[in-house]
Amino acid sequence: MKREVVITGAGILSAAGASVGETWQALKEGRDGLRPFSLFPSARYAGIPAGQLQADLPALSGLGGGSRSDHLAVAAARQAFSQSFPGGLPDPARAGVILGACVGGMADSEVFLERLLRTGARETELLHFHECASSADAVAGTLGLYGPCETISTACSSGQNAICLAAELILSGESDVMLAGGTDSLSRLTVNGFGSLLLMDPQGCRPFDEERKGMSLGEGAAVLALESAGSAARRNARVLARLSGWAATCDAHHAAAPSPEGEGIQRAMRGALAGAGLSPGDIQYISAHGTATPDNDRAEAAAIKAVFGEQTPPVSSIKRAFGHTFAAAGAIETLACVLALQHQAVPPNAGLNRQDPACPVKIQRDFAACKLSNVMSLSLGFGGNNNCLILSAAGQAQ
Amino acid sequence: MENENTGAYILKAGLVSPAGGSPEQLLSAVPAAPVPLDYPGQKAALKTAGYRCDLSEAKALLGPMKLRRLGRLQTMTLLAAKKAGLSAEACAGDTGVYMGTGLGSMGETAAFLENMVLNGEEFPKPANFINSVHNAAASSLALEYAIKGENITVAHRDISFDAALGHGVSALAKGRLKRAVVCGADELNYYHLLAAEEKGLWKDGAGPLRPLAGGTTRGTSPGEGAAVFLLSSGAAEGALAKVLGARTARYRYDASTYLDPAASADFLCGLLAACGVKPEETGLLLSGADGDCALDAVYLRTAAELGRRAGRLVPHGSFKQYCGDYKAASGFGFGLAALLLSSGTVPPGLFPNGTAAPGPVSTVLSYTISRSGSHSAALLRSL
Amino acid sequence: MENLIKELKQHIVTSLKLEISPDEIDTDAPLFGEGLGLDSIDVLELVVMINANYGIKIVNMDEGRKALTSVRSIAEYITEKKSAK
Repeated sequence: MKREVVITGAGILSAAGASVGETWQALKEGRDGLRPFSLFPSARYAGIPAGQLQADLPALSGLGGGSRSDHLAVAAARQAFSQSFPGGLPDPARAGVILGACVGGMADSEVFLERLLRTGARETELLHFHECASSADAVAGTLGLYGPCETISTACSSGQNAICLAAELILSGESDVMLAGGTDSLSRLTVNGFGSLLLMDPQGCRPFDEERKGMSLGEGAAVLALESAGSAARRNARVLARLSGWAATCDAHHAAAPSPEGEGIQRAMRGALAGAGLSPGDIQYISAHGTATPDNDRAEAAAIKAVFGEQTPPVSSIKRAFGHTFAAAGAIETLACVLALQHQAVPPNAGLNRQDPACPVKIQRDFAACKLSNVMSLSLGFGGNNNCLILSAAGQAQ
Repeated sequence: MENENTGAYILKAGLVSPAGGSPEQLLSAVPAAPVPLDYPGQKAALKTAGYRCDLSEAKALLGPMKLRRLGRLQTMTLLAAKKAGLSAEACAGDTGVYMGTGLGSMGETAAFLENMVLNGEEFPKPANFINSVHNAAASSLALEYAIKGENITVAHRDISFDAALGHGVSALAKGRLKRAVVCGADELNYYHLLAAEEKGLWKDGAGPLRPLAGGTTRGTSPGEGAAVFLLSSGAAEGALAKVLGARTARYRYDASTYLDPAASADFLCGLLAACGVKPEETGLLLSGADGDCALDAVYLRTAAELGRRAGRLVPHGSFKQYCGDYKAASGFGFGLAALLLSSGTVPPGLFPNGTAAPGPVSTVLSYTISRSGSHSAALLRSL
Repeated sequence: MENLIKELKQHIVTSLKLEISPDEIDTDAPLFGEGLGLDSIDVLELVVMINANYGIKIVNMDEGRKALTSVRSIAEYITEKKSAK
């Protein structure tokens, strides 16, 4: 029997809420998840709109120690795990985790560095959870996973790349179960870094809008429980959605900008469709990367138009609800696609006033019930690292 | 990995290491002592000595306009790619990049943050930020050689390279790619050195590392390096060796033995079996032993257990005496394995305990244990 | 203006880590694309340089690209902004 990958659990923590239910409600309402940034003192960036969490993260994760990113990841992973495996794992040696992560423990490492430079203090315990690998290790340790345990770090496409590589390990037979997703906290590094690139919008991100000026940062984590279809069937697990196909490409155009016609994005979409055995007309919704930078949205829309033409389905970017959560973004958006399939409805592109006429695809303004069989998620990393993933409704014959 | 393991051909290999970069240098290298590591301008001086790469060729080979834009990790990676003889022609078509790096571009990250702390938020360094993402080196490779396929960076401590290798080999086996540029690199970095020094992870004393040689001191010596390989699903002239497979997993920590030797041997034999290789066919076990007596002991027990299952002593060598300890070092070990399989001689320098090197081998099993709870392995075969 | 132009050439060489002498930069030649062959990352670095040395803040890329076409255009932009203050 050909191995297939299904999704049997989902967990999420973000500015939109601390659960799958809260998140879907926020998406339905087209809610603006951005609040004035206050996580660290900052002369230049205090008060900018950001998807910052106010929750007590250690209480949600149950971790004794860890970075902010670790707490986010474990909290989300626990939700997915308890939904999928309320009675425990069939075989821990054949269960693993791959997470996308970029920031890691930087929020604490930065404090270490500042104190060292200002006072000579060597508070190296602040570096204990520095590596982005810390989050996947924390998930594996908490849930007792003894299969592959990895971290993918490809900037904004990390989370979605992690999900796809986890699926491949299941398809190869290396593992039966993989927790997969992404996590990133806010940090001075990313806030100041994206600020230095003149890529942030002081009014908050407005994807595909005519007046858009850039992105807003956010933090969060989303984790899905991926499983081989056979393993899920043997346990009578409820399947939330199926992973039908994916492809990843590189623009190889510029270190920090996409190619203007989205050439690499087009190849990723065509590759995912081919892998899924589907045509453009078979897709009923596209979750765009839509960071709201002038360049990204234009290139992405051009690419979608080039591949789908007259058959372009509803397209929306949901980043206004979360901010751009960097390594978590692709995982959050893939999870939103799972919810869309479950609820048979498309989430709106919050933050849109007037659509940019230079973006040649129709952007979905409002939440709408919709018959969905197959949906597509685009996650485009900084500098042209593109991932396209296609999910299909559970129980759907291909 | 189960039914599709025909493996992949290692067409090209390029190494930037403290022991040199050419195959001749590496196969005849003599393990050297680490050198004092000097970071002028840093507040807290380091006591640690380490293994540093000489990058003086970089300006001539990469050019000053390109070099000014690159951090150390990217420079090392592009230099290794040049040494491998990579070209846009060799990378044309369905080619992807799979990179493993444990700490990524720490130098660039530190430069951005130091500037932010010392000069304020109004005068940032955007080029340093762009270079600070973990996949900056993989992106530089893609830009340099117009590589347009999958571009993946694994950043998971000591298993980073083997995990990236495993994904690359799998992508080739499944036909998603025809060629994969697989790399492993990590750079020496002041902050990492300082944090590890505080934790007591580095050795005192200045002698060369002598892994597996019965030493009784804890700790290792830091190093750095970059290894770049061009893998292909099809054979080609000049191919060095074949990689049959690579895998990673977490191990259960055992309070008495650290890692139960039966569990490590199960892991290694699992990879061997998946690649259709019997334990007794293992010509050489090349381990990531780093001279820390506690971890060396774990590797030695694993080798002994593997030997029991093979019904014969399996020669057991190490490579960190050449390159020092860094997360992506198993990439260097992989490169040495490919070179020795291709040249037909096993360098005596792989055995600091003075064991005689075996004659030519046709199968090399590389094994890396990460103190953080994961282990990884790769299997190579001569052509 | 001539002093400012000389100063700017020195700042460009230093902040962009160019291995040429400041006099080698043609005052009127395009800085980006052809000419010196600088790219959009260099635009961002020069934006910071101008703020650090002249206290003038460029807040978006379009404004940056226009002001930074050549050394002369930078000098004119700075002179104009300073007199407007």
